[in-house]
Amino acid sequence: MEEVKLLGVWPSPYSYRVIWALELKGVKYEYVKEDLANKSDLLLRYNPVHQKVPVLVHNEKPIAESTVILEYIEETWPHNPLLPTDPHERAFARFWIKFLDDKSPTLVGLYLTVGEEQEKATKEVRELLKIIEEQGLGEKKYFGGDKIGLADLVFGFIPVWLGVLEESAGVKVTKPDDFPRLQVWIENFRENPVIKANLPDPHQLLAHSKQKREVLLASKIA
Amino acid sequence: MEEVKLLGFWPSPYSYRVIWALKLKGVKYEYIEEDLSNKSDRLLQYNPVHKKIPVLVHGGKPIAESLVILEYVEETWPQNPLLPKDAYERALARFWIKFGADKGPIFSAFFRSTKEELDQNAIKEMVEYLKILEEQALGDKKFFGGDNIGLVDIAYGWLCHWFIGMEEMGGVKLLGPSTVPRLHAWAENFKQLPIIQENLPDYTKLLAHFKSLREKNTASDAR
Repeated sequence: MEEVKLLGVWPSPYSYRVIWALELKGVKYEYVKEDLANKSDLLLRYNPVHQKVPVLVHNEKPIAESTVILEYIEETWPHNPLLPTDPHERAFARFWIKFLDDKSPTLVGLYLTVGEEQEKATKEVRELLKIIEEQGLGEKKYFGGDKIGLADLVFGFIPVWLGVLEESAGVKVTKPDDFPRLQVWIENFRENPVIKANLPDPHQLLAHSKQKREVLLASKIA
Repeated sequence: MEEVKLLGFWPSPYSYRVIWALKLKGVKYEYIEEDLSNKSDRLLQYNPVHKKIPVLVHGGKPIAESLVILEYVEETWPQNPLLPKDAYERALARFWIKFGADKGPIFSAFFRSTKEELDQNAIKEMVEYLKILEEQALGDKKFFGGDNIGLVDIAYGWLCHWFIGMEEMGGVKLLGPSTVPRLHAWAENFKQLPIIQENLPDYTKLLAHFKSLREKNTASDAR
């Protein structure tokens, strides 16, 4: 009998990428809540190099790093594929997954700054969203094409977390008419039954983000 | 047969990752040298998002980002496989490739600093990184890939030539037999493979290039 465990934390977009992939493929797993302020022996044993979540443990073998886990899930449970079959399209998906992860400091920057720095960060995020919409999404329904795929799960950061970061930081990056194609993708993403059934509580997420921001900004001033 | 082109830049370790993978698989390709100080329309067309090299162009379709290109090469030309068959082993390989990619800033900082500025903390971080690679990624294996090289070896290949140059400029020796004996042995073994030996930029030219980059950085910092 196959045993699948997922070590994660509820506010983390990285944990959710893996949850969504497992759920989309109907893989049964046990979710293990970690407390990053008080890391369990299990976490330290399963991810000694980074001591971070998420970690997938399949038949006692641990895999760390969300994008590595996503590729593993895709290869191990190939039904309901989340990557295209064509190698060039797969490369395209991987390129955009890397793009979002490499740009995460910019996205988070908007939340960690104030005043002039925050204005600059807001502008940078708008530029990013423009590139994402025009070059990443283009005319497609999903980043992966006709169906939701790994790239969409990674870009899931935008519908679920970006708005929360904006609200906790008291900024608004986009106006209602901005990025119309991206807005449509956001709606399609949120309406997907598996995604809809596996989202963090928005109120809790907002409260958590606000609190975290206060702590982080205070430590910057100190 | 579809045409394969590689847009690269001679001092770049990222270009060489792709060259090594293509050569190991016996894939015929046309190499195009790009001038990064004067980017061609071709580069801007093939990599509009980042405008960087390397870019692989296969049958007219471009792929950018060296690690993405490596996965593409592995899938498109499965002969002489560079990733393990087992899914878990593949995950471990990808984990270590990502580890190297994420720790890039440690080395950029080292590259930029002068001998006087060389931060003891930065040195400590780099040694720690090399030790983790040696103990956890390489272990007792000859190569990261096992008996034969694979994508992980290719990803870390820069250590055996480019990093040596950086060490020489910084007046330090970190990747040595006294600090990391097994990793040092790996570097020697890797560099001696014919495919690697025949496909490396000239060391003296590379060092001169590093020096000119450093001077440019210092000049712009001084402004």
